[in-house]
Amino acid sequence: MLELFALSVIRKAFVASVLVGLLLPLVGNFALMTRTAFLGAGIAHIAFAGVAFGIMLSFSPLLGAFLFALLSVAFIWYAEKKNWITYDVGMSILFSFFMALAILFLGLTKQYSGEAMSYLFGSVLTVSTIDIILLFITVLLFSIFVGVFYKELFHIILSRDLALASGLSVDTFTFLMLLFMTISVVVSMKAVGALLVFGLLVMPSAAAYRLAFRFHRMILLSLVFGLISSIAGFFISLTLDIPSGAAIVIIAFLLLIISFIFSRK
Amino acid sequence: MAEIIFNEVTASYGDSPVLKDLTFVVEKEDFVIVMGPNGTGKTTLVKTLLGVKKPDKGLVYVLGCPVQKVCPHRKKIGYVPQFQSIDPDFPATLYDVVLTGSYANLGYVKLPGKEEKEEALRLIEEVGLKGMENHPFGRLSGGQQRRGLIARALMGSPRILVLDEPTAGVDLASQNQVRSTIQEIYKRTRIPVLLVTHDINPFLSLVTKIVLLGYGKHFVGGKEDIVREEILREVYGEYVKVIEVAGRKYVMTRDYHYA
Repeated sequence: MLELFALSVIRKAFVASVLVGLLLPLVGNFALMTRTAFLGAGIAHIAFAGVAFGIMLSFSPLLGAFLFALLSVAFIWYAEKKNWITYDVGMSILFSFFMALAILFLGLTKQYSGEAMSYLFGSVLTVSTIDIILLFITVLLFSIFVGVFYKELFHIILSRDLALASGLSVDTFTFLMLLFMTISVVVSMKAVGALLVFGLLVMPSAAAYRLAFRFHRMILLSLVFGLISSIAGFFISLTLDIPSGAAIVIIAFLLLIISFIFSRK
Repeated sequence: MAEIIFNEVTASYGDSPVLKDLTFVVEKEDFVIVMGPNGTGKTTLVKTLLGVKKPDKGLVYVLGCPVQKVCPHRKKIGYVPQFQSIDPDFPATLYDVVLTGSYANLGYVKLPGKEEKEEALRLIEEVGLKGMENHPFGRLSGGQQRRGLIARALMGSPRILVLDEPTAGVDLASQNQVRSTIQEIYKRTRIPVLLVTHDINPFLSLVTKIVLLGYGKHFVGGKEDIVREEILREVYGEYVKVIEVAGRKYVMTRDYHYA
């Protein structure tokens, strides 16, 4: 199997899997602890509508995905801040509305689009150098953000009230977290797929949550689980010739089950 | 100058004003109780004091600085919030939670150093939780969590201590431990305390001032001015009784079935 690594497409796919395996669980820790994980699923589906929009109007699907996802998340953040709606309700509404739009756009395209399907179901073998660069930049920026503002993020996760009372700009940090979640989901979609990105976002951090008694350990464990899922899933998909996104998420699920069995909580 | 000044403060919860033209001051060494029925603005008062909530009208000063503006003195308030249930599996130890009390003074980016870490351990011991530093915070009893949050509030030597219903939601034995912790801290440090509570009797010997909030009205004064049946009944209704035992006053509720 290692001889396959002579092919640049395989090397790119492997690097993309590793980067996604680090990025989504890292973001997932904060999504899980702030109870905004469902936003990840919603963002992926809204972004898919952007992909379909891009395909329909013949411009970059990735650009369409960013546009739709960022605007929707900015709206939900603002609406929640103003107490118009909760994250869950807002995202549930936009989730189904944008999926309807995605179906509409694909219907209007009137031709089969393999590219749309690669965003929906994930195909790590189709990732481009640009996709990998975007993934790498996102991993780097988000890691720096978490490293620099770890204590502020932990404070907000522990108690929004206490963080506010300490003079912390909770709204700004919440917005930045949502922004990173949106970017991470969009740049990971091609590798894992809109339908499965949520799995890698939530499962490694949920498994780490079962085992860790301190937040920084939860983060480290989730990264280990994410890497195991993505690397093992990648090799299994190559060996058995099955879709990579599905293999990655199934491994992540097995790790979650194992963490429940070995949890001392 | 007074440590806290509320000057004709009006603040709303949603669209309804809950505090209306409230004026009071907290001086050095004051022990102030804020009391009143549910929904009369006790927590709104605390949030306004902390600068989290902007008053509709009036000014709030903390250590001479208006809290609505950028006020470094906000960091000098040690704050214990109202009871919030925390997931028993939440990945943080008691030590982690107490250490967050140093974050406001450290500012952005800087991490707690040796000094803050030693202070956290010392305060954990001071509130009677020595040996529990590494316990998951969510697995501590309600009373232990409250004492942990008091230790957190004391990080960085605050100049004012604000506690929002610290004995609510915990069992009787734990209530007693929390009360004793507050009393001991006040007696030792003499920093002004602003305590929101329904549980007034255990603190009556320490109280120097009471802010009694009612629906659309409030009373501010010393213990002798406020702990009187005619004043308390203005706010709580007919079922309040003040009794005196061995020279000490107690506020009781009458059983309305037999009134």
